[in-house]
Amino acid sequence: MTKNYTIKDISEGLAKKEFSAEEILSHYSNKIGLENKKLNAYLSTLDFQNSKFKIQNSSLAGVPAAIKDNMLIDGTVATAGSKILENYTSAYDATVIDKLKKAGVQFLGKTNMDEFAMGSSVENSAFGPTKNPHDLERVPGGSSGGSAAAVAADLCVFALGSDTGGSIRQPASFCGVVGLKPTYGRVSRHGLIAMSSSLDQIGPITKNVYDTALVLNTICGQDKFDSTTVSREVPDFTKNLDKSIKGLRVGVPKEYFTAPTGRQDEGLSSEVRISVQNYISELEKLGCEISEISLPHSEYALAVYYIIMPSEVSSNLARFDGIRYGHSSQKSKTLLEVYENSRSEGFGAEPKRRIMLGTFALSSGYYDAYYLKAQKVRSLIKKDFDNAFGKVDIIVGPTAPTTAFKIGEKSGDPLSMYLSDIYTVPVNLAGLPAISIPCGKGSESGLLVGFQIIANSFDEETLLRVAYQLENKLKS
Amino acid sequence: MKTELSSILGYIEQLNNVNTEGVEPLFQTTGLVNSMREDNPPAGGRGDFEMDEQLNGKLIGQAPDKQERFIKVKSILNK
Repeated sequence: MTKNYTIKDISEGLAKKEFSAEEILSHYSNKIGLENKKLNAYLSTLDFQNSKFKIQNSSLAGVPAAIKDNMLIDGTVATAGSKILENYTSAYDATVIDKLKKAGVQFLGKTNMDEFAMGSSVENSAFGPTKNPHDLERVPGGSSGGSAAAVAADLCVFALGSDTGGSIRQPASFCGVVGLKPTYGRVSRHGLIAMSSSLDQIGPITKNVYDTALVLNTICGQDKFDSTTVSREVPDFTKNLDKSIKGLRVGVPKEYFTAPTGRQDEGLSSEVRISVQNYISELEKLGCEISEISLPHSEYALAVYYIIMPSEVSSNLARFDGIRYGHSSQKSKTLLEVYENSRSEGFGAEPKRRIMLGTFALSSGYYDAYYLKAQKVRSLIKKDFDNAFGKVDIIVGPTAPTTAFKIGEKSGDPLSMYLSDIYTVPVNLAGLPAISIPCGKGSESGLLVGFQIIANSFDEETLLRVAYQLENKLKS
Repeated sequence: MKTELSSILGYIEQLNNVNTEGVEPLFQTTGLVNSMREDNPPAGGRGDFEMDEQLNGKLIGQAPDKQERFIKVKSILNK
């Protein structure tokens, strides 16, 4: 058992009785035991067996998976990468966990992440950074960096991540795996520790596009516990993966290939540009009609994001008060001191930074100038996409402006770290689905590049179809 | 922290360059308004979560200070 197993490999192997579900589970548990120390991809491992793996008609039955540590699995610790939740035990299953359990998935453990999903490198985790399996001196991306690293290092078959501004796609890009952020409203967030509620979405991180389709089939759908999930028929996402994409209209936003305003040093690196352009010409060879489009407000997306997201953070993180669960400061004499000390001791620098920014943006004198203004520009960003999808079927470009950077390289400059999400953030603001697939190695660094495909709301089918055929074309 | 916050706020200032006159804010993207459910919980419960001793124990059990089924907090007013 040395193979880098996909979900399909596991189902077929189990069906042919090449191995048992117990054997596969212990294969991965042993591997984690040997290799996790070097990567720090898992924060905790689980040792219970899901007795439902014997279910016959689930393609995920017996498949070992890793779960980002901001999703709840009943009876197990969920830290969200924060000291404030170091000893917090989940009291129920997140909806995605419930669905995976019923499909017979085996949970190997919980993966490392930036504290409360705030970051692009896992350097903001209270429990130490995760290393990129392709280069241990580099970050795996974030915030779902533990999940992406676990998939890339074959320490699980697939993983779940969450994506608020790129937290699934950017680490998928840095680790050379596939990461999907579904349409906002497609997957329930019940049992996901909330960061920014109008943006957060759970999605799969896998070794290939087919596996992504399989996991999405299982986790999506309306949920009575999450009122933002949308009632909509769920197709079998694997069904049309082979359907020809000849004549499909592909838009390339010109703004994604120029430097963002004010930070000329932070533009698209030339090696990423080259890799991405190569992939675009592959799409042309597959018969797609490529055209340049414009998303004129994309340059403002990051500024909008850094108002809306901290505002929602300041509200969502108010629940960590040291009273009901989580870290509670022992040195407090009054109720106010319990709040103040527990939060000061429990939160790391990045959550504190964002809570302060958000509280400021929402304060009465500044609400119109910051929060309301940002929501209006968000509206313009969404309109840009609506206009574009009047002319094209999908939009493609880079996932991140660079390849994986070195641990410590950006940690002293939060703004420079934020710019790593420049191409992923607009997608969350508009609620659209997008995927990152591996796009070869950069010509200078030899590090992995990610290719982003963005589709219109609820059109994951087209998105996956394009990703699948591109992946197959480059394999052959 | 002060310099970092100033540099982030400085970056955000660029939104002033965008003309948003007559533009409606977009607070969410699903277009859903008031997701309603039937108000017919089964007798004695909410119907979604079955609240029993065990779940109660799991929820209240993590409070650092508690008494029976209740969470204790420090005094709010000075005695």
